[in-house]
Amino acid sequence: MISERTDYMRIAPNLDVLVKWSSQMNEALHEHYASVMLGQLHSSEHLRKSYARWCRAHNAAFDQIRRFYTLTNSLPVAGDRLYFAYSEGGEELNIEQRELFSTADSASMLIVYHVRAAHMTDLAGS
Amino acid sequence: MLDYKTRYQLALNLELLLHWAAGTPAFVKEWQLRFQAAEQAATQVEEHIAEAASVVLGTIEQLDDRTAQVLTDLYRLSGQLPAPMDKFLVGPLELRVEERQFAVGRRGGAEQVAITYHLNIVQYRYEVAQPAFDSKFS
Repeated sequence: MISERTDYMRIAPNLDVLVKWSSQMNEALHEHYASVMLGQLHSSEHLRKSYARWCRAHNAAFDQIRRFYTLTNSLPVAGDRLYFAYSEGGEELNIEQRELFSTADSASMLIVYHVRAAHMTDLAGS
Repeated sequence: MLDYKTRYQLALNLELLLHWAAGTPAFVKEWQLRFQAAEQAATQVEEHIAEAASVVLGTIEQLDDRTAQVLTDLYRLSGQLPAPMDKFLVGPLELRVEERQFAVGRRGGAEQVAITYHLNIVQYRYEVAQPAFDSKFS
């Protein structure tokens, strides 16, 4: 089973990025893929493949943000869309929210991206 | 409580200004009233509210400095500037960048850029009811 990658990505010294599903997206995923996520045997092959595609889209978001930073020296902001051109299902993600976390001594920073499917209907239909 | 004219020099020709949303004084007032009301009541429940309110009011006292810290940290660590819609936490308060404005001017012979951030206190973080994660499976 493909699991969601939750590790932090270091894109600059003292600057980490984390990509999370938005709460609404998380809820929708649980609704549609509960059987796959719980590893139940009766879950269909179709459902498993479709869930795996969303996991890959999530992982691709990490790489896209890293590449964006390397190429443009800037970071995506809330409202930006991430489109993974090579994905079979054409999953498109939308950055719903960006959160900044700073430590008290200003030594490091964490940026958390909350992403969701750009079209939630894609999720319902898969 | 909040200074509406906070300025920070990010770089030689780059300045950051903080501007608080129109609703901020009402937020502060509400928590002052809650603090007073809770302090006057003697019940256990009210004690917790008084405690929360004193943390909120204490955070607001330092809000200019601590907000500027978050905004400048990002610039210092990555060369990035906070963008509209960005959220961050200061103590128990959730803040959001509502708008940012760029202004170019001159000081002496040099060009100066001033970025004004319009900020809003979105909420006291611990008062939002979180939906139970697994409620739909039970």
